Amino acid sequence: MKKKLLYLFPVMLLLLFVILMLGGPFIKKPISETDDVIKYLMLTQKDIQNNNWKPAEKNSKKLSTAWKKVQSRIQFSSERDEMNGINVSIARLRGFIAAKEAGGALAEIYEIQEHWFDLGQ
Amino acid sequence: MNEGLIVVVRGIIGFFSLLIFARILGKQQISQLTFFDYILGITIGSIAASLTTDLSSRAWPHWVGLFTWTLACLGFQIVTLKWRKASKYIDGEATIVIMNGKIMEEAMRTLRYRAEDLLEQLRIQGAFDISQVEFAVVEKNGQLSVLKKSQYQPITPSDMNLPTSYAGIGTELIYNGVIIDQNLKNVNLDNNWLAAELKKQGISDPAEVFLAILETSGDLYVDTYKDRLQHITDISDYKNQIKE
Repeated sequence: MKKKLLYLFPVMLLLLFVILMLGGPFIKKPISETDDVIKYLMLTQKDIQNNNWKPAEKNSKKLSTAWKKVQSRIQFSSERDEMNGINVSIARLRGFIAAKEAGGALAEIYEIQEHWFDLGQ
Repeated sequence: MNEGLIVVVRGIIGFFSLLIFARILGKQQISQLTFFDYILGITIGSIAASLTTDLSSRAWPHWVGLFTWTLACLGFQIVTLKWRKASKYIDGEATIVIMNGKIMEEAMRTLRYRAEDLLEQLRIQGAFDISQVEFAVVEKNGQLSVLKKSQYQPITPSDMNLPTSYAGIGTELIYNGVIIDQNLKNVNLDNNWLAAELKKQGISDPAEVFLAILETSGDLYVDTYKDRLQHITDISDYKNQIKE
């Protein structure tokens, strides 16, 4: 029994490492309302397309908060460049919303989506 | 994103993965490694280092690289173990460069082994006079093994027809102040015997003992934490470096 445990322990440890490294696509899924990145991204996109700048600003703020929550748990299984890309795009998105520039804002939305889908892949 | 924390986590993953893979590949002393084994070790270490600190890519591809190299190495170990011809093809074989006192120039040329290299390795092996060497073999890992002529080999009790008693491996009975009960049981002794032996040497508590080894001659070697030296030899340039 002891010998079995001695062999089982490193196997379980390696399995844990693999789960940690490959868990990105599952970990980025929302746990609660406040960390649903895609939801706030879509809402923001809709607001921008309808020229509703105040709601767009609110939703972009919620998007930023949601992303911070997801980032803290996905950082171990994702590329730093992808996460930095989303950080930069969200910052630029908020700038475009403040300036009420739909074109730039939508471009940033699509860039965030692109980075999001690559995250953890 | 906390880069420091990510590096710590990836470092732990890399460290323990490397530890497990190294244990799977087995024990091999550095001196016994072939050149390829040495390069393999460096490569695997480099991959583990990248896994830890290269944040521009995910940990997963590096870990897969580490796993692949380990698996390949293990595969080769199994193949060379089961198939002698493969072993010779992959690892090469030992080459005799001095045979019956004569230098094998053709073998040396094949190995690109110069006379200076040969003399250097002979000196490292303690053979300063080449005329005393019967055989010299360049092993797979590049080391030179030397067999001196019989008249230049050290005398042994067997040469003098002297009887000797058995000399085997000692058994650790105390380590770091803790009695190793399993070893005590293996040599059919108990704590009472050990306490009596320690008392003979003026030791009342096993916790005072750093190391106690029972030799095959029956003697108990004991080293205590307090060495009680009469005269301390200090070779350091700085005063009072040796603490009792």
